Amino acid sequence: MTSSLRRLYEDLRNICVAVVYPPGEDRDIVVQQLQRIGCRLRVIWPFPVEPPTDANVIFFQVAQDLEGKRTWTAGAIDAALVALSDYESPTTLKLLLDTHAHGVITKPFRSSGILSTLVLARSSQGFQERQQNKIDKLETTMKSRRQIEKAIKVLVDHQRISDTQAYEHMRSRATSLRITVAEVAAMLIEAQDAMDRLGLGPGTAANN
Amino acid sequence: MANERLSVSDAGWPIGILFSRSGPTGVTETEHFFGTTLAVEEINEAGGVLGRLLAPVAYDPKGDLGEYRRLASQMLMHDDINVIFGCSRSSSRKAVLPVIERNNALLWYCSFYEGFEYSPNVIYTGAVPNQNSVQLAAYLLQHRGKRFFLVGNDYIYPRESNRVMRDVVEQHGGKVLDEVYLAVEAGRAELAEVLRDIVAAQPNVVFSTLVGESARLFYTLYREYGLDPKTTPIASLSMAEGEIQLIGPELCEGHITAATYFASLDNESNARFISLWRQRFGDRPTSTWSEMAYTQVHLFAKALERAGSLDRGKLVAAARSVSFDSPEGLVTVDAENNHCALTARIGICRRDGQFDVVWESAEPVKPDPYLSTFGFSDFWLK
Repeated sequence: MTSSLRRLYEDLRNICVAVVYPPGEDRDIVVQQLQRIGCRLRVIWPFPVEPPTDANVIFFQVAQDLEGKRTWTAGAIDAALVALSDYESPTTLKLLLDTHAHGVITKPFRSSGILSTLVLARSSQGFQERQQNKIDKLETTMKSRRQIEKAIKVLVDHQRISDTQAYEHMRSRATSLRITVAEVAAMLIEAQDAMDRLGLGPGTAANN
Repeated sequence: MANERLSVSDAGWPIGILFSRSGPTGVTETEHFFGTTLAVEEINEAGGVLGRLLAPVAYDPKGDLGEYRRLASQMLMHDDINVIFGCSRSSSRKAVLPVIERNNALLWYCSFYEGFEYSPNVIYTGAVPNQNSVQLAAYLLQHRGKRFFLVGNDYIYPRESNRVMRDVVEQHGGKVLDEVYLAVEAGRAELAEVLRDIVAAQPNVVFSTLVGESARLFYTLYREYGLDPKTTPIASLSMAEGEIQLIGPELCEGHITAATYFASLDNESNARFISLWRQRFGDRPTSTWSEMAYTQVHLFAKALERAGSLDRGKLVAAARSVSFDSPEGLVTVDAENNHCALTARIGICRRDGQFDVVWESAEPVKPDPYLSTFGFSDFWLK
């Protein structure tokens, strides 16, 4: 508990926060609070076409008159997004949803609440990222499982060995070639495809 | 110390008035200003509140959002004011709100707006969509047809009003032919293009949330394109008697407006309001813009009389327990959300610039500022 608390604190002192908002008292409240927290700060205006690249967190304005003109969304950005919003009416909420922000602060801005939102947005972005990595990995695993099964079938048909022997063979080749079983499977399937295209597949004269 | 306190009480109740007399909202905010002035003078003429006169300080932000904020700060921090009557759009209200809340002051806001806000530091005396938009949609579908063309300026109120209109129209078998947004400063060329599109689309009704100069120009040009208000009216939530007089009433005959007040209302409070108004401002007509401003000052005076203090908390608590028999009927502040129960009305513009009220709600409609869907029950007007 203590160590994770310390990590959270040290983390906030090291991260870079970009604030994309027009100058004025409202922005000052946000900027000054982030300074008190001790984040490294970059203040940006006018609204840039491309999101700032080196920031860990981006606080940015969501406003009606930005619609269709200047928006970027969380999917394409490697930072936690905190929206700074004027209104809570349905059309503005729609704009807010479109940004896929991880947190939101609504006017009138106050110094209290900025830290909580910052921490929560960082945490949910991290969580989302871990989930996404897990999903990507699972998808890859599922894809390679299908390939391995297909390769096993090729070996069983051509080499007249059992499923287990086929898998064992691929696994030992993978170890000696320093590649994954999935990659061995892919090689096998590719080779079989080539043979088929050359008219040397199962059931042809060459095979008998 | 004792002397100082005495002199403060002799000086009266300090209040702030913050309306733009020029800029994009200059015409309608001037009506707000006159309505406010009229009520302040009427109350002071009758001896003030609890024996003390209202002591107004008025500034003109000239339509500039930064100025609204700066002048509100000036009132709260240098002029010893804690109660402000002012602002006319969500953008200006949002600009002063942080200052109002930080100083625990009270803003009286009398324009209709899109809802979705509550602040303990604001009393909202204008209509929200469940008190004007929904009734207008029902009326138009029942009496004018199902083909709608939507045009507005590009900011939050038109976008929200069109969202409600589209929602309701499509839910009840109508069709939105097009939804067009123009810049607030849109001129003749942009409006001409929209008018040509309207002629081509042949709607039954044009729902306009254009405001200010572009709205007045739109009404002025309308007939030039062969569009007849009697068969294809413009329906609006904001076009009222004051602006109609500027456009020329003969050009506006047949157009439709939904509002909580029309100058043609026949009741004692309105007769008094109009007579005071004429003495003070001459031929200029009263409208929903001046009337709401007038009404909210009276609500405030009644609340102040009960609270005996300009303290925000005491005033709001008192405001929730008073009512005012206003020129538009009984107005009360809803304790749940600080908005007002108001009577919804539909008017059709006459040749003399006044409105024939063709429908009104049987009783004041409870404000529902967070209403986002509009069900079938009780939708059609009776």
